[in-house]
Amino acid sequence: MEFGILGPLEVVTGDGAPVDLGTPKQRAVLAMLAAQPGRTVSVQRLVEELWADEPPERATASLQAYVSRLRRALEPGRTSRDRSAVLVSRAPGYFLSVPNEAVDAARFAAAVAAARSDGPSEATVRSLTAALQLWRGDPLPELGDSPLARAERSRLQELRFSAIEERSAALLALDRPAEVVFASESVLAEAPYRERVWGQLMLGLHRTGRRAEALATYGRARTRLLEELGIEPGPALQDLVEALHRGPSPAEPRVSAISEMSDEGSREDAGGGVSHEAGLVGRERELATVERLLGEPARGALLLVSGSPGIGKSALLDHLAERAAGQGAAVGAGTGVDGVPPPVFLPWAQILRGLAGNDRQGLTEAFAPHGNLPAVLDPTLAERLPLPAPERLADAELARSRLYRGLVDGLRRLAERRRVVIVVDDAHWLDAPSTVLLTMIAEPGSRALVAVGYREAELAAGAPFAKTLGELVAQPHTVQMPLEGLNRTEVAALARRIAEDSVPDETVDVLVDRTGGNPFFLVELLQVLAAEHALDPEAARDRVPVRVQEVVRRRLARLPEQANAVLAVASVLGRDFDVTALREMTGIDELDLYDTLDTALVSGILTEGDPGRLRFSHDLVRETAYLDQGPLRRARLHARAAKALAGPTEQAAHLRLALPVVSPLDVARAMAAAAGEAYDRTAHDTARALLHEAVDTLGRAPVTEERDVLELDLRVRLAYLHQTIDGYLEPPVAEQFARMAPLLLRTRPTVAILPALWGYASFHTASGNHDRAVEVARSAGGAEPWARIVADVHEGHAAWTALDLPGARRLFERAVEALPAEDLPLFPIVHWDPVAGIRAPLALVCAMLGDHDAARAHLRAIRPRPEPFQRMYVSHYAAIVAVERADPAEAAALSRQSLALAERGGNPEYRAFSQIHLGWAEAAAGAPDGVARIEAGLAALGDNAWRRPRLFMLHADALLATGAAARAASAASQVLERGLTGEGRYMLPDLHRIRGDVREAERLAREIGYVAALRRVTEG
Amino acid sequence: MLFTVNALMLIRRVPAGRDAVTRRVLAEWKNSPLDEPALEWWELVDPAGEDDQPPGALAAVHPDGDTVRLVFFATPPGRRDRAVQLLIALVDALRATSARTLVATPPASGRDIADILHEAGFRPLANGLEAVDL
Repeated sequence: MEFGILGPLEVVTGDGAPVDLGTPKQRAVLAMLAAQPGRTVSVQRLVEELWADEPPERATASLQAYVSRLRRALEPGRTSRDRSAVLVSRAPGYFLSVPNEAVDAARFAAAVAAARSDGPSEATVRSLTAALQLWRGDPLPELGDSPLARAERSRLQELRFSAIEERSAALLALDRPAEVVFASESVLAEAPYRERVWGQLMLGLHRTGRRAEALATYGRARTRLLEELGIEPGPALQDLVEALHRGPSPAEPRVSAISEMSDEGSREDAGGGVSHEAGLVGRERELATVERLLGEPARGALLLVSGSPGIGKSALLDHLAERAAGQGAAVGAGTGVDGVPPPVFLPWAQILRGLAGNDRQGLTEAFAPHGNLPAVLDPTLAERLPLPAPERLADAELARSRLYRGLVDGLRRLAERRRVVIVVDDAHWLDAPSTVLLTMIAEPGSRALVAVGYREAELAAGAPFAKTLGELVAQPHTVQMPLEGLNRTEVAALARRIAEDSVPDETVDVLVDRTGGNPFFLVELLQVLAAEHALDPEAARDRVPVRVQEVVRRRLARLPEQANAVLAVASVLGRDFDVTALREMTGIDELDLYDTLDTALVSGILTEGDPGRLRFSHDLVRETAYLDQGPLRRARLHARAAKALAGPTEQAAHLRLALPVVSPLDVARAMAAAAGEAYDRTAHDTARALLHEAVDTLGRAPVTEERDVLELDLRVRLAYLHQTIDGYLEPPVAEQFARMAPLLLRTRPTVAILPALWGYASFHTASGNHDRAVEVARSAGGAEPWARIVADVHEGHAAWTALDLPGARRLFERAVEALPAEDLPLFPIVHWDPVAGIRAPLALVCAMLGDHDAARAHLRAIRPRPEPFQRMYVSHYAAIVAVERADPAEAAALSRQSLALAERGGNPEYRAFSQIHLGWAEAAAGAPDGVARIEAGLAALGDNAWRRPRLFMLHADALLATGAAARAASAASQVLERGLTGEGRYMLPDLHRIRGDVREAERLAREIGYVAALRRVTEG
Repeated sequence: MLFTVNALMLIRRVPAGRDAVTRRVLAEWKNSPLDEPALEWWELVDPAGEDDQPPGALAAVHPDGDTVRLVFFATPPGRRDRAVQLLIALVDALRATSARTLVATPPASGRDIADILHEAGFRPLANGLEAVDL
């Protein structure tokens, strides 16, 4: 895409098609940006350019609309998800993001520069000829008559004249004078005072044999210069005419350009270790600039300090004033005042009063020719300055002119006598007369140092200072100093200073994040925290100082109403927000949203984040927009945000804050879903906290069956979670099941309470209270088939514990036969399939009965699930079945699998079980290390290991397998001496076998029908 | 003016799912439903409201090339202020489209409507229409 500004604005696409750029104002916006590709042009300057003195009420919104239309024209294929890559928003305005060579003016400038460095040649002529053909008319006709537009046009025209001059010089060097005559005459029609062109014309005429005309041309030039400017031609032209008089072919005259003021050394001391003991933190580069300016008393300068509210402009100006006063300068400082209309001349009254305080005598002498003009602005000076009152003038216009001129002259006279520093803060609020005076005094030529602070983002389009800023910026002695936020190190230093204490690193991070390094925000926030003796990160996250809110409100008030309305919604989504979610909440399509929020982007309230995301510049900004909405409105918006967002965690976070307007049951459900997500990420503590909070939230709802069912669901989730984290029978688990009992008994049985009922029964079975498990399952479940399954399964467990292996097998098999054709719902948190809870223990019973084929079949019938818990559970049972089958290789493989899953899922009990099974398999395969692995597993379980005597039997068996028969016998004896009850009695045959008491082992195995153990005795 | 809750209504095209709400409020506000095809409906709403909340104000426009014709606008009884807010917001929103002018034809007898249009920035044209440049 190419942009042409050397003539009426035109844009053509890569394939040469012109782009429709729309209305004149739209074209003017693009022309401004194209004149400075890659440089941000502020909203304020664009507004000034578009509407000059009369910006409409909603100028910013209109400008934004023009930008929006231009973007559509320039990037027609752009979708709502794509940020504009050509016309880009960047605080405090917009810039055209195209290569320099995409703009004809830049190509033209490059050609002229190349011609100057290459010198005269055919190539230079060709290059400049081509470059001059880029000109299609007067440049930038779309722009108005602002100083900046005038300056830009002049710059381009000057460049064009230079090109013509360079081309003529090359033509003369190549002995093509006729072409020079033609070119020069046309230039002189436009620029009659360019002496180099007059000279080239004279040479061209002379070398084409028209010497008389050449001499006459000098006469024309001289007449013009004398009559219109009152000056004689310069020495170069005079030398040329003398040469023409003297000889036939003089060389081209050298008409030297006026050298621009060199800024050599101006940056040399930047960052050069300037101390900043005056209270500022950081700002080394800016302080170095201040020192440099103060160190050049012979030169005047205009320092423009800009930035957002609280960024430190005033502090920097105060520092400058103090340093200047310390160096003996006369300092006057004044401040613009926010008023409608602002008080006239108040800042200058303050300045003059300050100067009089510094140097009354000097001020008196400086104003001696004018009388006591300072007293016109500040009546208190009538007494203090021994000067006559100025003569009264009847003509108001004359009086005003005299006042301005007199004040400027007086201050300049003072600056001739000594160093004068004038500081104007909050210039964005300056009244019109004060602005005029500032502009006059800040003109180059004065020796005063004028420092001005202003908030660019708050510069109203119609503000007097806004209208003059472009002119001030363009002046050669102006130094611009835009201030950004402090970096982390500087924030930490400031925090230490304010708090008078060390501040934790985490708190510093929060401060950086919330304030964006804005010193005002920082100081306000720190003062609140210090006063509350709360320097912890949590406190830093919570507080929003009132004064900060006021500043932010003022910034927001300058945005269009639609932008404020959308920002208020966005504030609910968080500091970083997804534009798609915002679209869902507002019902406005994304492209329109980007358009609407563009004003917030260019005013620095928002910044761009990742694709499709935007970000509040400070969290304090977001919070102010958020808190200003009132609690009920915020709650409603949070409810809408929950609908707009897909993730359970985000939904729960918003619904929690929507509680005043949504059902506690909905909030609790969302928290349960979020807990599930947290569990899946192995964030167990988060999951637990969410579930506890969900249970607490339920307390806000009246007691209903719906609430009971939900509470059962939450509590069984908590129980499963605690079983995972703390252990199967630990007190937190017991507490949850104890609270579930009355709920289970009073709730109408539906499949919704299956997980709770199963969990309750399993817990009591594992606790040895089989009767309670079966009783509750049968009474709560009624005739529901799934409830009968729960009862049969747990009765099967009871039979197994009572050493009734055939009975256990029968009950488990009955439960399997009763399974519905469709799958039972998975249990929450652990995503556990209850079918696995039937078939896995049934497989073990079958294996103990020696029916290994049936055991394998039941394990295979368990539907494979991706969830780690169930995979761990099933592989754990399969490992035990392999142990029963005396298959160490299979037991090792399955144990490794369950061990890996237990470690990944953070299940300490299963980890220990798996270690022990693996250790047994290793020892059975002849590896002595297996015993140590078993002992480590037992140690990890502590006393809980005694609930599973099988584990001690495996330890003793492993010792035996590794040849430590005596230790094995001793270990087996210890277990036997401790006494075995319940299901532990299944270990009796093996323990006797290990001890060497084969006959007793065989007897016991036969007695309880433990076929696998009998085989180990008889075949071992 | 500071940032206030009153300023937090936003303008949007009426989403497809809210046609029924539009019809309902038009009846409640004693306005006849419009049969004119190709109308584009806009509403002023509180984004914190429910999906079926009534809008704060409604407008219907007919886009026609560079010109958009304001066909209709309505507010709840007694909320004339909303009409001005609606039209100002509508003008701002249409400025982000390719339209160049918004025109309206105030009824001969409806002085109040002309006043509302003027408050919202419309200016009379020679042909009796009111228009605002976008």
